[in-house]
Order: sequence, then structure tokens, then C-alpha cells
Amino acid sequence: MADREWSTVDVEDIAALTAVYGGNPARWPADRRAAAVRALAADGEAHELVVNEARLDALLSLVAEPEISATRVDSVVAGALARLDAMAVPAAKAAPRRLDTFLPSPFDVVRAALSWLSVRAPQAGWLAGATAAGIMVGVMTMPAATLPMSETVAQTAGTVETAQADVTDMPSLLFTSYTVETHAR
Amino acid sequence: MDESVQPEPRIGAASAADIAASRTRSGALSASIPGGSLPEPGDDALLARIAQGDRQAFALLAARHAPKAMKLAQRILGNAADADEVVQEALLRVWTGAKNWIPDGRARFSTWLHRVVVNLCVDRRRRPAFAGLEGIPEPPDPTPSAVNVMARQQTAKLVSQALAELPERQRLAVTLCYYEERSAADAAQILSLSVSAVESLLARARRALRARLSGVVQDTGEV
Repeated sequence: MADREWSTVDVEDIAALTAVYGGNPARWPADRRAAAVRALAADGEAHELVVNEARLDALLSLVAEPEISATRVDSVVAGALARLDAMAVPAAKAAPRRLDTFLPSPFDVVRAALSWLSVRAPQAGWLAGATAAGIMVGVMTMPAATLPMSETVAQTAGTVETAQADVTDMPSLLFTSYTVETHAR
Repeated sequence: MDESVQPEPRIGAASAADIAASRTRSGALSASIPGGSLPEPGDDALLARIAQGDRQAFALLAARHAPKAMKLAQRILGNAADADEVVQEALLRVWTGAKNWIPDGRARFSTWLHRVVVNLCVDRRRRPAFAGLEGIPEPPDPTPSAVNVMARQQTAKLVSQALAELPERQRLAVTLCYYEERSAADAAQILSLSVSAVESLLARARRALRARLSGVVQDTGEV
């Protein structure tokens, strides 16, 4: 109904217009009002359509308009302001903290950590797992080393060597068994 | 409807001052603008100040738009107390949402506010209704001279009933376009619909109203 030029309208247009907007030309969309009013003057059938819709408009206008007194408006606005005050109170209570209270106590740190973990337990689990795997891979890929033994053990004239498998790819590194060999000097 | 059951407004000193300032052009808000007697600031300017926590700007904007919003809410809800609560809630959303307002000239604040009010009203109507004093019909005036008035009131009641029985979106479209005198384009924005959808709702609503009020037509000869 909105996507056309309204230079001229016929009875069908008037019927469609009044079926939506009623019989009062003041309520009709501006883009088609002038042409519709011209058609009314020239066409008795169109005029009859408008009169019929105006009767329904008259019935609708019998419904009383709600009375909005200034007192009521003030009450609503004051209520909204009071609720703003109520919302601001918790923030105002939290604001005047002393400087020393900004320093977290150990208890606060532990509580914050627990709270962080409770929210991010899955992420923390992944992080811990990834860290452990990294350490394990690091240990396993460490070059062969001769570890000096403690004094008491050294008396037995031995060394402990890690035996490194001759593999370089990650799956092999993870699944190849390692042995710790003790060589007597 | 019955304002006698409304509690007396309790306005604190600060709130009363805010409202008083909002009622007069020579209030602190206008006085704080260079030039003093300039016209009242527009909605966009007030919203910018509200975003910075300016209560007087909030009171001025609220007092400016609350009456129409209350009228709209009362037409939809049919109840003054509920309408006031809805509008108060909508005003709070203005306070919290002001920082997100983009004054690009495309959207009008009143359209935004009415959309919030309509949505809150729709939510409230979906709650179980409480049969309060509002639902009790007023006793008829026994004086014989009131016969015509009573007949008119009776017809108005039938029309109200017919409106209330319309599907929700049709009723909202009629309320906005007929009673609030919004254009179909405005109503479409408020209801988040296209203009043609609003026109379709209006046409179906009028058809349904005509069918429901056919008895009134025959009795009164008005339609």
C-alpha cells in the first residue's frame, strides 16, 4: 500500500485506505491524503465508504481517554528518582574504603583463587595438564647426562645415566620406555 | 482508572527539588546553560547529561515524556496503578541506557521510550491478573437525567470490551495509531514491524471491531 505514487486514487484505493485508517482524513497518510480527498468530492461511492468508517471511528472515540494528573506524573517521576537513590546506595557504601583495606589479605587471595578456580575449573584443568605434559616431554627429550652421585653412593664408584631412546618424533617419545642404568665405574 | 486508590505521592526533598527544577524553564538546568533563557534542551542533550549521572536532566526528561507514556500504558493495561509501575520501570531503563543512546537524528527518544513501555506492558499482561478494585464496575448513577449518560457509558464499555478481546498485536496497533495518533511508520518502529504489517493489523482490527460491535450498530444506528 505504501510503494506507489498516489497522484490519483479510485474507489478501491479509498476502500483500502479507510479499512486501515478509518474515515477521518486527518488520520490518512500524508502521501495519499490530498488525492483521496479529491476523489471523495468527485465520487459518491467513495464518500459513502468514508462515512461508514467514520461511524466506527465515532464508536471507538467513546472510550474515555485516561486522565493523567500532574500529581500522578510527579509520583511516577519521584518514584523513579527514589529507585535511582536505592540503586546508588550500595555503590556509595562500597566507595569510602580506607587505603589499607585495598591491600588484599592472604585470606582474600585464597578466596579469590578458589573463586577463580570454581569458575574456570575446566580451563585450569587444561592448563595444568598442558603444563605437566610440557614438563614430561622436556624431561624425556633431555640429552643423555651423567649425573654425579651423592658422596655415599659415589663411594660405590657408580654413575647413573639416563638412557635416551633413539627416536625423535613425539609419539615415540611419549610411548618409548626409558631405563635408568647404573654403571659401575 | 480510580485515582482515589493511588497512594499519596511521597516525594523526598531532593526529588521534589528535581521535579520542581524540571517543571520550570528557569530551573537549574536551564540556568546552567549559557544564555540562561534559551529554550529547554532537547531530548538528545538531556540524554547526554543523564549518561553523566545528571539527575535534574533525568527529572526533566521524565516529566516531559511520562504523561504520554502513562497514557499509552494505561490504554494497553486498562489499569492506572500498573501503568504507573510500568512507566517508572521504563524511566529507570532510560537512566541505565542513556550512555548507549546515539543521537544520530534517525531515532526519536519518544519512539524508543514507547517501545520500552509497550514491551513492558505486554510482559505484564502475560502475568496472571490480580482482580483488584479496578475491575469492580462503578455503581450506576440512579438519577433519571443520567439515562443518556448511562447509555453512552454502556456503549463505551462494549467498545472497550471489544478492544480488549482483540488479539494483542491488533490491539497495540489500534492503540498506537488511533488513540495515540501515531503514524503507521512510528507504530511500526515501536512494534518492530514493517509499515505494511501494521496496516494489515489495523485493517484486521477494524474488521473484527465492526463484527463485534454489530449489535451496537443495530441498537444505536450509529454504524
